[in-house]
Amino acid sequence: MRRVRTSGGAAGLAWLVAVAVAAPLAGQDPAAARTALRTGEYAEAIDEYRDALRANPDLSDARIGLMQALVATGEYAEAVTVGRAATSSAPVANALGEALLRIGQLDEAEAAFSEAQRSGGPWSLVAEVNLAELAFMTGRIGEAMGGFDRLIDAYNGVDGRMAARDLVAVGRAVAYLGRDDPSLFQDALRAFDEAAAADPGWHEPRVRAGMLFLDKYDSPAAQEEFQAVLAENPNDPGALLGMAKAIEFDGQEDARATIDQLLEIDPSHVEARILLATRYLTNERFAEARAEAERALEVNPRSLIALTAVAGSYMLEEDTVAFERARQRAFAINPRYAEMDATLADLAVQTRRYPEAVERATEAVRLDQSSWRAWGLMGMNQLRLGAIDEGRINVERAFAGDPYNPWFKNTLDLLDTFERFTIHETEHFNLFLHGTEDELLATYVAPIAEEAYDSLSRRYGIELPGRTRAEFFISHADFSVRTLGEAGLGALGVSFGPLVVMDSPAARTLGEYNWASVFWHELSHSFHLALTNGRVPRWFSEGLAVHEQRQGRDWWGHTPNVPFLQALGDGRLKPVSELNDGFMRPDYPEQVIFSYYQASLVFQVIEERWGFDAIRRMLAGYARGETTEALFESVLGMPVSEFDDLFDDYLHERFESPLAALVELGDLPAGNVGVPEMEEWVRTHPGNLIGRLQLGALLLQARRYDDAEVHLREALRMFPEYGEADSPYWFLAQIHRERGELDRAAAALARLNALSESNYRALVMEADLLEELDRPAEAAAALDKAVQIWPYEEELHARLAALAAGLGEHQEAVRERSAVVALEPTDRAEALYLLAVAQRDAGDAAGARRSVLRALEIAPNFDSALELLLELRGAGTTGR
Amino acid sequence: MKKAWSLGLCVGLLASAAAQSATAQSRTYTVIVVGIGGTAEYRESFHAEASQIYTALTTQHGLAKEDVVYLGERVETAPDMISEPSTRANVLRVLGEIAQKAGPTDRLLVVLIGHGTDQGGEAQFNVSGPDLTPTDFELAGMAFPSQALALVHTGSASGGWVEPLAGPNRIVIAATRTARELNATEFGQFFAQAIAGEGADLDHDERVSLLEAFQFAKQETERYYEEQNEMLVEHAVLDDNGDGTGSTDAGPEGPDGVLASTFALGGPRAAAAARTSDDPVLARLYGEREAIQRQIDELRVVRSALTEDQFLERMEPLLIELALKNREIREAGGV
Repeated sequence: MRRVRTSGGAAGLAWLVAVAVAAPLAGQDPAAARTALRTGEYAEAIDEYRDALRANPDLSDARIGLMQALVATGEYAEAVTVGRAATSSAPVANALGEALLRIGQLDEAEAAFSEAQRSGGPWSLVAEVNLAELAFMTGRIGEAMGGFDRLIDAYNGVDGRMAARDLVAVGRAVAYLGRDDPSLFQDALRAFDEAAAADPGWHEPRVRAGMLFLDKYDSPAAQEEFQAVLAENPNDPGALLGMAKAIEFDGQEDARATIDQLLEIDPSHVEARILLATRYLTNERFAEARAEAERALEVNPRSLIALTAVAGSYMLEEDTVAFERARQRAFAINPRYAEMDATLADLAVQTRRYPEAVERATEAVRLDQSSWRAWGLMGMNQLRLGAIDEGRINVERAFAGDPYNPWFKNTLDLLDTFERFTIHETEHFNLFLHGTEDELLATYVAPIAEEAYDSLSRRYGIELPGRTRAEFFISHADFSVRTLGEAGLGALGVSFGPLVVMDSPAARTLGEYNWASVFWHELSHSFHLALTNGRVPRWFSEGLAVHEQRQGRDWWGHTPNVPFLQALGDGRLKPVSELNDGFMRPDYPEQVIFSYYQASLVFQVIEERWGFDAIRRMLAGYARGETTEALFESVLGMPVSEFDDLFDDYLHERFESPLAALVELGDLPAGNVGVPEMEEWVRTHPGNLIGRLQLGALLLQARRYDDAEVHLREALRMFPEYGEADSPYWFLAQIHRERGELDRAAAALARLNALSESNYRALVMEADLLEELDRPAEAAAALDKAVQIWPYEEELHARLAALAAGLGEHQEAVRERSAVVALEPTDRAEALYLLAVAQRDAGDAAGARRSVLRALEIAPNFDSALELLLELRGAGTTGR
Repeated sequence: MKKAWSLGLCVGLLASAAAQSATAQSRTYTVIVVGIGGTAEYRESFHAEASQIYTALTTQHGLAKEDVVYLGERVETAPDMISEPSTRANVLRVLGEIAQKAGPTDRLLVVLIGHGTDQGGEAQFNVSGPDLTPTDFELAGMAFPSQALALVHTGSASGGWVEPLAGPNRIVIAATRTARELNATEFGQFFAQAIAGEGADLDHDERVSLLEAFQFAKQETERYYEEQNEMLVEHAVLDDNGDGTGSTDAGPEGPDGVLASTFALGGPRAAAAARTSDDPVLARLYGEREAIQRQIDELRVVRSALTEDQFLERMEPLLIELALKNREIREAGGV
């Protein structure tokens, strides 16, 4: 093992010779009380310790044990009283200081720690680190670091024997020193491990190790520590807090139950209250957030994290006066409290206020140049706002200071790949496309992007500032890293306002993604963010963006499906007044998807009944900082609770038929069911949608087309809006095709494709049928939709080009021929020649000349191309 | 100075290549060897590929039937095409016979279709009886001191044949980059398509060079795997600069691909040109066309030193001249 080099060059820890020993509690501390304390039987521990102290008030370790048990249960003031009642103050001074800290009596706590440290007793090293932490907490950074350094000196001077509590003190000090030398975190962990080995029944070392793991983004390792502690003491407040933080960190489950468990044990637990407050803040429930923070401040009026939460609530509410007041309260305690602004920057990110995130992070690094978190937040959000160079510099700086941070690492790795991208400029966009497909995608993205911009700009009556940067990633993991700094994001696209980031079609499986529709959605967000300075609630912007998709193309956007209807029928959808929770804190994973569709219908209802101007006025209200409740009152003239009822009625009326057809769903025969069983079941359940659909599909397989049609048409009557891959229209189209009724098959597919934005297979089949029916214009329209979904099929582009040329749609033919060239076909000369022909037909002689020359560069003896060149340059001439 | 010297060398190489391709009177001998199929499915597909190549060579590419030998697993499968069983002895004997009659500027193309193996020693091509090895061909090749030799091995483990057979005036095409790529390959079917179809005439000169056939087959193989949503397990290579290292991205600019681009298979225009070269008018026109083509080739060599605009500006008049010359040739009854 190596020696620790401190920032001041002091001698390091002599780990090799350190032999930890347990704290010498035995002898005074009644064993039963201590066991109760360590297993979380705090009431019993309190009783035992009180009994012991009644017998002998001079038992200082028993007094400390009692104080610790009282602190564990939130009886902070009582712990202070018990501490002050000691006949000899020095032995319990450290415990008294820790209790005083809990209630924000910082000066008194410092005095107590100083006394303990001066006394040279068994708690003096712990008091030393407490003093240094208190100095750090109050902004006396130099003094604090000096104190931490002294812990190292003390360790190295101890000739190899050290108590577990002292090892923990050293570990805490080394962890602080790690902010200037990240490698020291390993030494801190080692100190905690040695402490745990020295006193296996004492849980603090493992809790401290868990917190350090979490601080270094290793949630699994952290949870392992916390779980080990909770297995022995299910009521350990530190382990419960760590567990709650780890669950929040992972974002997979709800930490609420763990937080509640902690608050049941210690109702005064400030950090638990602030975890709750933060949840409310990210959910944009500011009053509830503030209420939790105020409860924490009642316990500890000088809690910096509680003051941060209060400041956060005012920041999000745009109350600048109250916001600044809360910040100044914190600065009165710690004038260099960078963590507040870093936390506020993080909160701004959670609520999609990226410029404010940069602003807060900038303020944080002004206060503390070693706040790597703040440097990272500044850089990451500059990147989100499209400031790539500045962002990169700051993320690099953050990563140098915090090399454990996986988001910084992933982001920097991704930025290294940016040289493989090309920027295509259009009037309103910088399209950032991967070099392997930029020529192809630009052909399609540019016109859609400009069309979306024009449409949204007209509807919302604003222009976006500058060019919007739109990045398309050929790997979903890269898109995810660009967005979050890590893989695993379920979304398809994200808008940060001036930057839209999304999957390229290459990043998704064919048939599951319509990039143009998603782009329209994300650009809508950019308008909403610009109109409201980022103050639009998530549910409002998401629902409105889906609504805008449908304005772009009526077959785009989320559609109703059976699980949605089941949730509606079972009452598992959120009312409009709580719809934000459906996105931010869903009760079950599918609720997010359901909420998108549901929210989009809210705006359909509002636009139909109140007009689009009502939506614009609501956005303007958000910009002024008004709440959703207030806006429903002022713009729609009804409380949101009344709208809840109105909208619920609307949903049930709109989906009355399919809802009725789902009632008997639970009785469906399970497993591999044959036609006779299914027929029998449908005979007894004629009104069941799923039964009809399944039977229809089975009969189609059995080539009993007439019988199949009956059931599929009945399913269609029940749920005419159903447009997923197993829609009745899909099966009906196949029945008609098998019967040779091509026009009816094409009609069924046309209806299906009007209900679905990404059914590539159905679109190609529709185009095939229409071509067979000699209806080239409609065939071209279907193919056009197909190539928008999946632009990588050379043959489809060629077919569409030929159809377009035949229809005299020369510009479209040029686009499609360009797409073929961009796909780098084997016969590139031929592709360029055909592009030249299309360009000639479209009247673009210069483009045609260039293309035919490029063809002839590859194939100089290509007769047709040579003839075209002659034609373009004037047959029979040799000059230019 | 260095750049100018380098440029001169390139032009020299190209001129030499042009000279080789211009020897329209030289003969191209072909030996198609189909190995053991193992299953009916492979037997059928191997024969289908071989017969496709045989038919294309003897019809559209104008090779004389006596110059194309098909040695198959079973003669009875197609006695009109397959002359003898594809045993090691027969293959080596046929190569020896061709060496006896081949002129100094003639060419030999050997196509191996079947399964290859490599069991840690020398790579092998599986035929009935003793397998064929690169050493067999190395020895047989010594009887062709001046002729251009091309070997195309479309089977598994064919990468093991590249290094032993590489050398001056040698083209080796293998379906796999190394002898360790042991899965049955798809390359062969696309190589056969390239020889037989029109899709591989990438420069539209109505001939298919071995480079074009390689590029087409390689690209179609990759597309096939992509469409099947399978991982690409064969990586075709071509070596013709003699360094024994095959290139997956061989091209007319080299380092591999220069020689293969000149090993072109017949084509109607070439055949017609050869037939009508006795007509003095057409002979003159063909000569003038070749002169223009040479200027174009020379310009293409310096392509990388020019911007696209500069290149196209210089190229265009030559191309117009070529187009007009083609018209003249057509009007005079040529092609």
